[in-house]
This record gives sequence, structure tokens and C-alpha cells, in this order.
Amino acid sequence: MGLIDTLRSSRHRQVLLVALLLLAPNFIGFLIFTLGPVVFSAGMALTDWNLARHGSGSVAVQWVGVQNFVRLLGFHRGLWSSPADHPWLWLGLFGGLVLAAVGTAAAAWRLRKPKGYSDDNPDLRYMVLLAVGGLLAVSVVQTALDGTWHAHPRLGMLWPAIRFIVAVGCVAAVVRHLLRDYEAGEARRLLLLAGSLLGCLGFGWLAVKVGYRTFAIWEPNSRTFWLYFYNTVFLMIGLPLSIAGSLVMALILYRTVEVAGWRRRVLLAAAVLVIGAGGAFVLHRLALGFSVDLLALIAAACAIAALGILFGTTAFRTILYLPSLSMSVATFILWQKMFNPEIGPINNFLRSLFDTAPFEWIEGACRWWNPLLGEAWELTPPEWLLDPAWAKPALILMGVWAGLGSNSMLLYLAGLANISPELYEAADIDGASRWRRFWNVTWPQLAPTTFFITVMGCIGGLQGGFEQARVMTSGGPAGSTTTLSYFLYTEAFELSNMGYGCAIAWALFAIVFALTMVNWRFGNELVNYE
Amino acid sequence: MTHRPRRAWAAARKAVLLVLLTALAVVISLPFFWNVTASFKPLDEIQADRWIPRNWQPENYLVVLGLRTPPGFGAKALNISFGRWYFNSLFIAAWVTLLQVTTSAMAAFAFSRLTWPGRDKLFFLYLGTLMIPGLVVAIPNFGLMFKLGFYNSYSGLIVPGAFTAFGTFMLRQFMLGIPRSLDEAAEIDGAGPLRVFLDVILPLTTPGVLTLAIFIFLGNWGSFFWPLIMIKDEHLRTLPIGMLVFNSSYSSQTNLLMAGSLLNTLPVLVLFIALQRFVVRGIQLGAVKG
Repeated sequence: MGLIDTLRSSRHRQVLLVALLLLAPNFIGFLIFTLGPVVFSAGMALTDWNLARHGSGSVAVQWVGVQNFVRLLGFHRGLWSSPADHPWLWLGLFGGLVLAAVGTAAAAWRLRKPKGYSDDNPDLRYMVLLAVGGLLAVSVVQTALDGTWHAHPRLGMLWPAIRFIVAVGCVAAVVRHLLRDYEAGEARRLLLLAGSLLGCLGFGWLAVKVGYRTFAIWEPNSRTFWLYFYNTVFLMIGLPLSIAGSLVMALILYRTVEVAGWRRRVLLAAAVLVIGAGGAFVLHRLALGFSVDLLALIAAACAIAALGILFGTTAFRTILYLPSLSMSVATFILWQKMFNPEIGPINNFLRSLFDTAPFEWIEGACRWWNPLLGEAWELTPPEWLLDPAWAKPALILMGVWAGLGSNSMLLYLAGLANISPELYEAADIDGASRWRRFWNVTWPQLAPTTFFITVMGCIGGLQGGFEQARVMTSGGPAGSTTTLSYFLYTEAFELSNMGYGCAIAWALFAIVFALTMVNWRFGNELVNYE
Repeated sequence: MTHRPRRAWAAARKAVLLVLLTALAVVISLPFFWNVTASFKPLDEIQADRWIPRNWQPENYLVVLGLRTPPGFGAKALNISFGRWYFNSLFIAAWVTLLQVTTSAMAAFAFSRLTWPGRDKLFFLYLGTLMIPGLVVAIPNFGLMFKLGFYNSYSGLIVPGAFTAFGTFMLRQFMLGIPRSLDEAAEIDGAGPLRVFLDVILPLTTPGVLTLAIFIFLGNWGSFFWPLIMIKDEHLRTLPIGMLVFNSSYSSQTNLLMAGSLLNTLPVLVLFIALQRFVVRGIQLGAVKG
């Protein structure tokens, strides 16, 4: 229906008039505060606009083209060294990389299409597991080579140890799958292939690492941007943990604990409260050496249990949702105080934990293992936000705390409610185990929810980290918690580099956009919409 | 006779689940427990291992609320004024909520119920801007506020928040779920489009409007970035900015900070628990339909 036709009919004319009337306020505001600034920002990114320099109006703003982006994202030839200095090392490294790439591709291809199993290949998830496990194992080796253990003698070995355990778990899962689902000969062949795949991947990784150290031939113009990008991505490690946590939470909270009948509920809740509070009081009176804190904790647990009995699962959903709801400046300050290395409760707890017998034993074992530590060495809790190596893990810990019972949990609960019970009945008739039921019914049915949460989480994560950096760490120590959004804030609003700030914003947008596209492209293949 | 063991089994499972959930809830709430106990401690007890204070000091709250000067500060008054911050946050969040809901509902009606040339193209433009991060828009808007004279004023915080594509999008989705036959019936009775909007669609959209209103309110209550760059004067500080200044000026007064932190979090918790139903439905609606 064209505009002319619309104007001809009086009824349509009236509708158009009303539509324009209703739309006008929002649309004008949208033009001024959203669409206009977007266009303007794109222009600003191409200028050297600085509020301090150009604020008075006496100095004209210069049009600098893509120079901001070159400064931000570009690379230049470093002064360190040139390939001509170490021709053999260079050639060997390059050859090794090519060999590793070719070997990886060949092994992956063979693994993907085993002989005689033209359409029954190892599942994609096992391939991913294998790759993750392998890369982790290699990174453990590399950490050991780098001497990180000596650089962080306190809890430094924790990270490689965790990575190693995860790697072994991943590889074990793949091996079990291969041994169970394939004939003996075929499985051995596949294992060999998987091993060579891992070897090639690991060799490639090491070659890149060594090469990076040996030849810093191309250096970024702005080291900070790439460092902060790395920080941002590092902090997003919390994302998969949060998502998995919310799924587990939703699976637990989906069951009901409701007690039938109000009278019974009230009686039971009262009983729990009385037993809990009374018990704590009696223990306190008996002076059996229980600390007041422990008794208070028991009383609090009984109070929460009583709430749970009274209001059922809703009470727990509310309590578990509260952290993410409360994520604001106040809660960041709370965590900042909790992470305080001297007076914070976390390190108080860790210090008393390290005094217990098992940890004394571990300390002894470490001293025996690594004589460099010295006789007096003992485990000390980390300095969290004051230590560049621990600031990011601390923030991730906080993020996971908030992420467990967040919107993701509510979305998973809604997703669980949408799964048709017939699917479970069918699975029961087939005699499926709980594990099978989860992997073959629940997980695929929740795939759209997982996809949505992952996409939104990635978008939010790349733009995130500003508030915690501003409130808790000021981006430090040594820039280790500065994310791209905090970088933008300091450039644009503390150093007044408006043009450069816009360039950062658009670079950030490009990254977000690319990641979203990748998610869509590969996520849609895995998600089975019905 | 076979029923009895099965019922006992079910009850036992419920009990185990209850214990598990309680343990989970306790662990998750530990930071809040510490927040509460630390806010009642005297300063010299903060460092102690003990969580429960030996000497309870509820005066911390009076100090934070500005009713009493803290010991050791002498005549120097703290420049914390929770009353002012509460008022500013409430005032700004309420205005933004009111304006944004109004403009969004009007635009959503025009996008969902009326047919006019170019409608879908314009809506696509709205949708497109949803993808662009707020940071891209923040810098030019900052300059715009200067030009308009809104810098360092209530208007600078309220006006840019009054028009968003998100609210329009959400209410449009909600309105599309209302059966078309209702407004057709009203039209047959001779009602114009404006009457249909006010008498038919708007009452039916109330749950959606309320959900959106809670979202906007909570979002603005905790909003940090924009007030941080927009506000300079002390008397215009909102709650988050006030807390930030509080934290940087008195970072060693952990007990006072914890009292302030609790005062900061409580209103949100109360609002959420009171209106839980709408919030939960809104979050789930946004994902399923969006």
C-alpha cells in the first residue's frame, strides 16, 4: 500500500495520523539520542577530537582518517631482530609450523572419516574434548618450561595442576568413547590417529610459543589494546562456568520440595527452627568449644531450611537469584573488602585452613619436592586484587558467584518447563539411564536456551568489566584487570581523547559483531530447533 | 501395602534435596552474612576471625545516615548523605521509568497494531540499533549533553534514558500476543485507533508494561556509567556514585562501608521480592520470544 493510496482513504488517513502522533515522541528521541549519535560517533572516530585541546574552540578538530584505528589495531616491524640474523632457527620453526599444520589437518581428516565407518564418525563433542584436553596438556608442559612454578612459588602450581587434571579427564573421556563404541582394531587405529593429532597440535603450539619469544618481528602499535583484549577474554572464562552452574542449579531447583498442606508446613518449619535455634543455644551453653560463628551458621541454615519448607522451591530460587540481582557498586565494595589480603574473611579462612593437618602435610611434600622453597616455606593465601596474577581469578570467582543463580538459571528453568513429558516417557520405555536421559533428552531440548545464553553472555562479557574495574581495582594492578570498556572510559573521559575513544568503541563493536556472527554460524548447526 | 515404603522413599528424597538446597543457599549467602555482621562491628573487630561481633555497634547505621558523627573524626563531618543519594536515585529512576514506558507503549502500539507505509522498514532500523553497544553512543551523547546544557543536571540523566529501542521492542512483542479480534470488535463498534489504544490494548498490556517498568527502574537504580560521567556536583550524586565516593574517601572504615552497602542493596531486594512474579516472567518472555 503506497503513501498516495493511504492518503486517499479517510480511514487510512486517520490511522496514519494517529500512528505518527503516537510514534513522534519516541522516534524523535530515538533520532537524537541513538541513531544520530551512532552516525556521529562513526565520524568522530576519524578525527583527533580531544576535549582538552579543542574544547575552547580556538584549535580546529583535525580529520585524521583511519589513523586512530591504525594506532589502535595496527602492527609495525619491531626493532628486535630480523629473520636474517638466525636463518636456520627461523627456517626450522617455520617448517615445523607447516608440518604441524599439515599433520594436524591430515590426522583430523582421517579421524573424521574412519575406514569402513563412512557415516559413523566420532561425535563432534569428543573431537572438541580431545582438542581442549590436548591443548591444556601442552600448556601445562609449556608452563613448566617457562618456569612459572618458580615465578609463583606460593600457589603457582595450582593452575598447572588443575589444567592437567582437566586435560587427563578430557582425553580419558575420548579414549573411553573410542574403546566402547568401536571394534578393537578400529579403536586402536583411531587412538593412534588421535594421538598423532594431539602431538601435531602440541608441537604447533610450542612452535608458536617459542617463535613468539624468539622473533618479535611484528609488534602491535598499541600493546595496551591487545593486553586489555586479552584481559577481557580471560575474564570471560567465568562465562562457561556460570552457564554450567546455572544449568545444574536449574536442574536441582526444578524438583519440588513442597510439603503438602499449610498446617503441616508451618508445623514442620517451626520444628526445624526450634530444633536449630534451640540446639545452637544448648551447644553454646554447654560450652563444648564450638565457636559462636559455627552456631550462628547452624541457626542461619535452619532459618533458610524453614523458609524452604514454608515457601517451597520458590524460596531457594529467590535466595540463589539474589547475588546477581545485587550486583552493583555496593556489592563490588563488599567483595573488595572480602578479598582484602589482611583483614578479609576469605584470607582469614584460608589461613586457618592452611594450619590444618592435611595442608601441613602438603607443605611438607612441597618442600621435599622442591628444595628451592627452603625449610621455612609455607602456604600463604594469595593477595587477590593486589596481585597481578590473582586479580583476574578473584574477579572470575566473584562473577561465578553472581552468575550461578542469575537470569540464565531462570531461563533454564523456563526451558525445562517447556520439555514435553512424552519425551521422558519414551526414554523410560527404552530403559534409558539417568545419564542417557540427560544427554539425549534434556540437553538437546535445552540447546536453544544454551545458545541464547551463550550469545548474550559473549556480547555482555566483551563489553563488560567496567564497573568492577572502576570500583574495585582501578584497572590494576599493572593493568591486569583493565577490560576494553574500562580502557575506553579512561581514554575518552579521563584523558578526553574523544576521537580515539570512539575508535575503541567501534573496534569493540567489530569484535562483538564478529563473535556473534561466528556464534550464529556454528551455533545454529548444533541447535536443533523443532 | 506397597504404598507406604514408596511414600517414605519420596519423603526421604525430598528431605535430602532440602538439605542440599539449604547448604547451597547458605554457601551462596555467605558474603551477605559477612556484610551484615561486619556492618554491626566496631572498626577494631573487623580484622578478627570471628564473624559475630563481640560488641554490637548499631550506631554504624546512624553514622552512615548522617545522624551521628563517627568517633575519631572530631568535628570533621563525613560528606556522605544517604538521604540525598536515595532521593536522587529514586527521582531519576522514577522519571526515566515513567517517560520511557509512556513513549515505548505509544510507539509499540503504532508498530504492532496500526498499518502504515514504511512501518516494517522503520522497525528494522530500531532493531538494528539494538545490536550496537551502548559505549558507541555514549561519547557523542556526552558531547550532545554539553551542547544542550544538560551536563551536570537531572535532565542529563533523565532525558537520554526516556527513549529506547529496547522498550519499544519488548512492548511490541507483548502487544503482538494480544488477539487481533479484540480491537477489530472495538473498531466495528466505531472506536478510532486512539480509543482502541487507550481502552483495549493498554489495559491488556498492563503486565508487560509493569515488567518493563521494573526492568527500567532496577536498571536505572543501579546505573553507574552514565551518572559517573554526567555528574560533577555533590548534591546530584546518585546512590552508586555516592557509594563510589564513600568507598574512595573512607576506604579503611570497613564497618561503615558495609552498613552503607547493605542500605544500598536492601531496597532492590525488597522491590524484587515484592514483584518477583513480574520480573521472572519478563526475563523468560524476553528470551523465548526475542
